[in-house]
Amino acid sequence: MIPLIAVVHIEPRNGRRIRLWLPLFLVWLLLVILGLLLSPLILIGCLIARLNPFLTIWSLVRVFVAMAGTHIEVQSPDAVILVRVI
Amino acid sequence: MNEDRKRILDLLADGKINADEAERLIAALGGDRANGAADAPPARKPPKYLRVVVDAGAGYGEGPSKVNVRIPMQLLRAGVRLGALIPVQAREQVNAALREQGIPLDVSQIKPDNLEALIEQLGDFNVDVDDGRAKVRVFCE
Repeated sequence: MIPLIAVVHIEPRNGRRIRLWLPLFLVWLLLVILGLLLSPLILIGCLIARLNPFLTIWSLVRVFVAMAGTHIEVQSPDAVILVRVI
Repeated sequence: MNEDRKRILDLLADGKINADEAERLIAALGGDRANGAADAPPARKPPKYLRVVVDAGAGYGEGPSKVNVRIPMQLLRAGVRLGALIPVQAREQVNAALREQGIPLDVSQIKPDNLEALIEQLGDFNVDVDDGRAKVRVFCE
């Protein structure tokens, strides 16, 4: 399943807490538009690097899709950082 | 009795192979599955996540720290597929850099099929390090 939301919590011991819920579906939309606009450059880059552009893009999409379920939590004396991809 | 099994039993009868080898060969033919399906343990589900848990006490750094990371296996699979796109010249450079670090690994040999076999076996993988001040656990779930 495509990850739809990323949760980022940054809680410094002495400072302002940051709690972000990032709507990834909007990021995907922006990336699609950006990808279409930059497609000639991507194509040229892939040709220079001798890569199959379709396979490259598909592999990158798979990496993004596979990020669902990622959970990273770090607690240190200075701060607590949590990143979750849902 | 099919032809292959008969041939294996003939080899056993002739003394060309021993009983253990015959059993392994018959099992490889699928005979073991057909005969002992009821006794076979249920198929294990492949692990879905790789977990890394670090619990460092006050002895390390400025104070107690904890790290809890959960990486989907799907991400490993996708990463390997992406890695397969690395140009040959770059792979050689990566291999050389790894050799310099004492890791004789050929990244071109890491293929999606190999990874599947590895992930299947990772269900039993469990690294547990405890030096009194910190605990590190790496396991799959």
